[in-house]
Amino acid sequence: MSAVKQEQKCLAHAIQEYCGCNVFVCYQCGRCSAGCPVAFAFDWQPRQLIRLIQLDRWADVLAAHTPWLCASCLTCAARCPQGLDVAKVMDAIRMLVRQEGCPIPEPVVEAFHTTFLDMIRQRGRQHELSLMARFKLRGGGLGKDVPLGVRMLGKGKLRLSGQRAGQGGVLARIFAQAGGKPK
Amino acid sequence: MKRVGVFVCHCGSNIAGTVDCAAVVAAARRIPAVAYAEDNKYTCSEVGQEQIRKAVQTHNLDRVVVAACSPRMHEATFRKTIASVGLNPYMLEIANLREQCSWVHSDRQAATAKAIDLVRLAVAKVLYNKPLFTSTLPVKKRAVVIGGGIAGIQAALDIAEAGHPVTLIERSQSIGGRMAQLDKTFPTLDCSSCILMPRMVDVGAHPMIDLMTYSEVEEVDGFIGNFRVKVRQRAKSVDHSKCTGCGECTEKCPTQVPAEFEAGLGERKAIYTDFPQAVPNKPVIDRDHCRYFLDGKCGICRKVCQADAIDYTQTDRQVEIEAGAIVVATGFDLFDPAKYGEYGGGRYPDVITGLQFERLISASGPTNGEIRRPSDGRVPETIAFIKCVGSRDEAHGVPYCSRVCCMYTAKQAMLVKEHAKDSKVYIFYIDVRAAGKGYEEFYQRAQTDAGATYVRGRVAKIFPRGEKLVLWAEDTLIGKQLELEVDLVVLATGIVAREGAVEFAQKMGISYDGHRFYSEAHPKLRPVDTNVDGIFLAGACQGPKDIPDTVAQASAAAVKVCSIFSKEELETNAMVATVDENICAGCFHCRAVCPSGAIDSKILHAWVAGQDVTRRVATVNSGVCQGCGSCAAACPSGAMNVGGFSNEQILGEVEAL
Repeated sequence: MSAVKQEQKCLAHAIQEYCGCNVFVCYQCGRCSAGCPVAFAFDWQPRQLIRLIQLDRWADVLAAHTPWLCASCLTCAARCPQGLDVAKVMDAIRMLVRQEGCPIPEPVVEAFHTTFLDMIRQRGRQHELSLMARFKLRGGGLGKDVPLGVRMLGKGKLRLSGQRAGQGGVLARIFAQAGGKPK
Repeated sequence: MKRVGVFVCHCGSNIAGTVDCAAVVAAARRIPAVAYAEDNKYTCSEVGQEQIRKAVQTHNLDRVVVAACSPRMHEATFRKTIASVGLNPYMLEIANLREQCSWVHSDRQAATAKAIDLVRLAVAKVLYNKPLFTSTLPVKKRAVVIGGGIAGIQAALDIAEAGHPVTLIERSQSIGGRMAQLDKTFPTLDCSSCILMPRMVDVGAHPMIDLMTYSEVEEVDGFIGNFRVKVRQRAKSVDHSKCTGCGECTEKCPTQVPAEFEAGLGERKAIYTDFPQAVPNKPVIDRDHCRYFLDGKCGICRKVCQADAIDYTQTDRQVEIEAGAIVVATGFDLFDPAKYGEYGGGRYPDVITGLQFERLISASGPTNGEIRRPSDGRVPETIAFIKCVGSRDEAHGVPYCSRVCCMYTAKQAMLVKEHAKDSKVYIFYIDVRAAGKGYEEFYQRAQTDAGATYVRGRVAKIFPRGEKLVLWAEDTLIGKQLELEVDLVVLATGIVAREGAVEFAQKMGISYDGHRFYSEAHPKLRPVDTNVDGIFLAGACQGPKDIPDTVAQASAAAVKVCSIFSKEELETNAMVATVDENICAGCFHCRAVCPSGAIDSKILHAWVAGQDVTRRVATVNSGVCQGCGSCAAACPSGAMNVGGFSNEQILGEVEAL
């Protein structure tokens, strides 16, 4: 991670630049963590992660597993009494980790996201079967979920052929515009 | 030759920190009409005022500009200063160098340039100032108190004890308000009824208090010393001069209606009093539910009434009250927890509000003081209290703290020990606010003596599982998710402004804040005044408040009323509108825009070519005019002028820019 940036910039401000959220509105009521369906797997509760940002603890935040395990269900954001979009903050932390070039705490999760986006970039639509195949090749545990895949195929949950959308450079323009740059 | 004196105040470092006051004085001295200019550290101090007096006399000044803080702060001070050396007090202008310059700027050079401009404007304006004079109007020595809760009761009693007549107006059948619904009060565990009821009886019996229950204020006009309050007295359908309050009619009435007083947990009859100790303890008929009024049948109450007091033919009456001062004590509503979908949105009968819990533990409540679940009547083994429901919740539009919930929850936890001593109590909180005399100690006792378990964390979800309710929360002190099964959930619902608070404020002409609570004239120094002279605030209509603070504010409002009544006559505003009858075309645009109803018409006669020619022009009632200036803005011919803000003065300022 680039130490220069950490010294220069306050973490909360960096997060705010990414997602527009001011983490200082948080008064640590814990409602986000109480309703979170994935919290059992977190190393830091969402509330604690917000606290780490308030305390400017770059190293802890960049190494946290929580943002990578977050399912982005937005229950926290819907229930926060202070209107803080916690899920957006999770997004911002993921972007920050990548931008800073830090080791990704959950490489498998990142591999899935990258594969997912690659597929969309190429085809405009998701095709679950190819997605799973590529994800497995990228390091998602080859052969781990094959029996489940077969059962899903049998029930017609996975299509054999995929669809395409967004021809004529539309997708390229969208991706170019999003570009992964901060706002 | 007009001779202006300019006095520039440093206000310590408030102004001098950003504005170069010496440069402002030097610039002022270059203005031709300025005969004298100086700067002071604190112009409002006795020394500073003495400097003004001396300068007026030695330099023969006939008008003064003080460049200091907002005129709201010290205009009255400096008017008195110049009046003491023989000038008309209205020969003064204030240049606001603090609020409108030094406090809002940081660039010293630019701020100084702006300060010089502000002084030049004030000098240009003061050159056109004319002496203004006040007149006097008699004071109507009767107070109207609106709202019969503890705030209204206290204010009415204090004013009446000082010897002035009071009309107390209450919307429901009885006075008593929210406090009557409570079981006990923190931090002393006094019985609420026991301390309130004697006051209610005093109000009912006081010779100086005219009690109007079942009545609503429809319209208010007039001004300090001379308000006119129009009140609609709803038809009670019971002749209270004959009724003995025996209660026979209520007992025999066949119609059951959900009782407002029981917060939805109990029922009342269609002919009813709010509660057994109501004042007046004589019933009214709820015409929306009474069988006689709905389909013409029944009439049982009339049959059983031995005093022949039932009168179905009564109609609403409009009464007009003349009063010198008004106390607004209209109280509060509770936040509606149905807005919290994650707490069931009102679907779970065993998720109740704090006020409903008060009724459950009240000996006169629907369960005679036993804590029983609304769903099955079982005594709950575990009770969870959730605080900050409808408080500190930006997402639901209530970012403020309701101030009473922490304490009433601690009290309710203690009362659980009295009423169901085997029940286990959990209290979910974010922060505990116990700032008050004896409050912190009381909160500690809720933990040490009553054994309530405080859990720091806000509950995210409540859902039923069998007969139980399941709560999800995080215990933020150990950072672990928590699931808890309980039998009863009590939501410590916060305080919100009354429904209809805005419409009522508009009727009165008083201002309100973003949460519809009524605004005090100054948050620190005028906490019971409104922006309308002669109208005062008491209780939670001004913001969340507990009983001691409410009573203190009510007594303060009463003193303010009495100070108005200590004078026989009140000075009227000198800065009122005047009509130039030579120019007035009689279009009466002014009358249409006047919010005070101060404009009348009169007929002028003139002999033109041997004929009597009449002309209708506007005329201003200077006692009623509040000097708002609407008429001057509306007048197409420039005939209307407001003293202190005449067209000449304003144009003078514009010219100087």
